[in-house]
Amino acid sequence: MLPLVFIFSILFGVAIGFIIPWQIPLVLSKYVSVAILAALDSLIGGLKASLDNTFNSKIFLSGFLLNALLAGFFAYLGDMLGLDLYLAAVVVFGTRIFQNIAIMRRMLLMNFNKKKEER
Amino acid sequence: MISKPNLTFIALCLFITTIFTVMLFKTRESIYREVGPTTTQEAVSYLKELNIKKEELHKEKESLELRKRQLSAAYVEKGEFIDLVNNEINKLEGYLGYKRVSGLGIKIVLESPEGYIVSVETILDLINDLWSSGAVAITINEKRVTWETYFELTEEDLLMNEMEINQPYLIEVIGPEDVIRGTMYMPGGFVEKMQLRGINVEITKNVPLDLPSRGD
Repeated sequence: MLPLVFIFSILFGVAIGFIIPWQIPLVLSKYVSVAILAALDSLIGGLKASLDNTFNSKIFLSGFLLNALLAGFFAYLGDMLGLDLYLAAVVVFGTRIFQNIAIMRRMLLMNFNKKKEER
Repeated sequence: MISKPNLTFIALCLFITTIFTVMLFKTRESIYREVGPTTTQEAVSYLKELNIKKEELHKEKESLELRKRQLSAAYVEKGEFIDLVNNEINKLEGYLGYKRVSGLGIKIVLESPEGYIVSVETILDLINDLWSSGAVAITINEKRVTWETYFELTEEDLLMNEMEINQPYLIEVIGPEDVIRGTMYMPGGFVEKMQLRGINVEITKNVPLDLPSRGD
């Protein structure tokens, strides 16, 4: 059930993304890519929180939107200041994504092992 | 396990993120397509493609140049042909007397001192000599001589197209002056024959002439 929902979300997202005629303006592409990275970090964080049973929808939604907007804004600010601030966002969000995935992996494996021992 | 409301939230956010990712992908992809290769390997294959295209374009250029040369040659030939035809038409119109003809020419005056009428044969000899010398237009007493001109001798008069022509006979000719003059003065030629018959022949070169058409 879990993978199916995510797979359908991704497939619908890809389909709609290709169907709609708009593109991200070239000047904004760098900021949007950083924002997408932040959104992915929030998504992975949300998944981890769900597995932990600590998921809060308000925290998740605010984090999803604010992180994405702030990451994009910081990338823009960095460009204005002549400082590659987007690199900081990439490093931070990238590290968090890998950490959260590692934690999720451990949790899923532990659950799997527990179920196996119960049998 | 993840609860249903949580799953909906996360799936919705994933859906939105995917849409933005695809939109971004479309933007970046068009840039990559325009910019060309970004790695050495891509650059090498791109260079090979460019070389192939260059060779194809070079061949196309050569074939187009060949075609251009052929077409321009054909055009020149066509132009020359048209000029030739136009010249021929002008020449024939001159012979037929359809047009007025102007230019430098020769004036020949025939006069019999004793008032004898010059024979039709003499006039025909003269006209044939002039045509064969390359004359373009001929008039006798300001009447155009054409292919349908005919002469007739009555007891008292020489008629040209049934119109009387009187002495002195003024023959004006446009054509190659030196050739015509040479033909007239050649041994046994027209001038010598006329002198033997006692007819005066006076030939003047480089006379500006404006000969009428046959209808004038």
